Amino acid sequence: MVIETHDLIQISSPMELINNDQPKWVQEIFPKSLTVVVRRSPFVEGWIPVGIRGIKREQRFATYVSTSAIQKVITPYQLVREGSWVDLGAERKKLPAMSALPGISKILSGYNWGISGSVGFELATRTNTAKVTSDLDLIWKVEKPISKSSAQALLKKLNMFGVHADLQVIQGNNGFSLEEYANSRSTIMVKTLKEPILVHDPWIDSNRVER
Amino acid sequence: MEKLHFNFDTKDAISKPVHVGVVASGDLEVILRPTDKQTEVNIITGSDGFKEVWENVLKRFFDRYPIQANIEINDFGSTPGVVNLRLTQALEELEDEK
Repeated sequence: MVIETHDLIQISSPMELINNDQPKWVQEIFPKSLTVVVRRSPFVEGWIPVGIRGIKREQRFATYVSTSAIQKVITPYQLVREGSWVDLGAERKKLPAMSALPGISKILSGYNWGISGSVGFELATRTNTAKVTSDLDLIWKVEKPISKSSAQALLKKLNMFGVHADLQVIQGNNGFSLEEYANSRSTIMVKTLKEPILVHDPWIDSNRVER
Repeated sequence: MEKLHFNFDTKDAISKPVHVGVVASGDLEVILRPTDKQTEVNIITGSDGFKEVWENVLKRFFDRYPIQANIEINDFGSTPGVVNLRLTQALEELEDEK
């Protein structure tokens, strides 16, 4: 099984987390979903770097889980393939980031895209994680580079739904913001497994870095 | 959400405004503007409780690059690594425009 950054992993018990001084909010909120998010960080023999999400933005806790603790892996791409937003409760469907999904899925039909962030977490776990103010964090695995003008046109379409849609382009383990690429005049930031780096051309340079 | 404010006594005046970064989770926007007043950094961050971390990151930055500027930062839960990279990128843009 290939596990990638942004994948959601369900484990059987909070005991499966490396117990490194978990804050109180982790102990309160984690048992409700038992789901961690794979971080963009190097894997350590048998251990997966993961993060735990709280309600607030500052509530993020980095830890590791053993590969043997995995019960189920849900990928952001699977949430799209399964149309996971269709059977959401009526109240949750009203959230701006959720209500944008049917329209966005039409625009991105044929793309290999997924839903990450608080919206993806909610769709995967059915715990109320997205907020009225939540952005829609999307990821997209590209085959071929696209031009800045196509990137601008795509972002314009994705942002027609009253919520800020952020599309991260995924190449191997690396990711960069399509918005930054679309507007860039010089360098742009690429997040790699090891660290964020600045490059002039994310399409070429990111092929050169290790995967 | 938290608003933070810092001042520094740095004297290398910048000549042009610069804007780097994006509004996206785990990222931030950095805007540098020329000023003839004391260097001022105003931060709006979605992650509360990191005042000391910001202070350390900025202090280290200004120790190395004592630019005089009015700086605005809008943070969306970025890591110190990303903050440092964005500040470096802003400096590179300043160099490019010289």
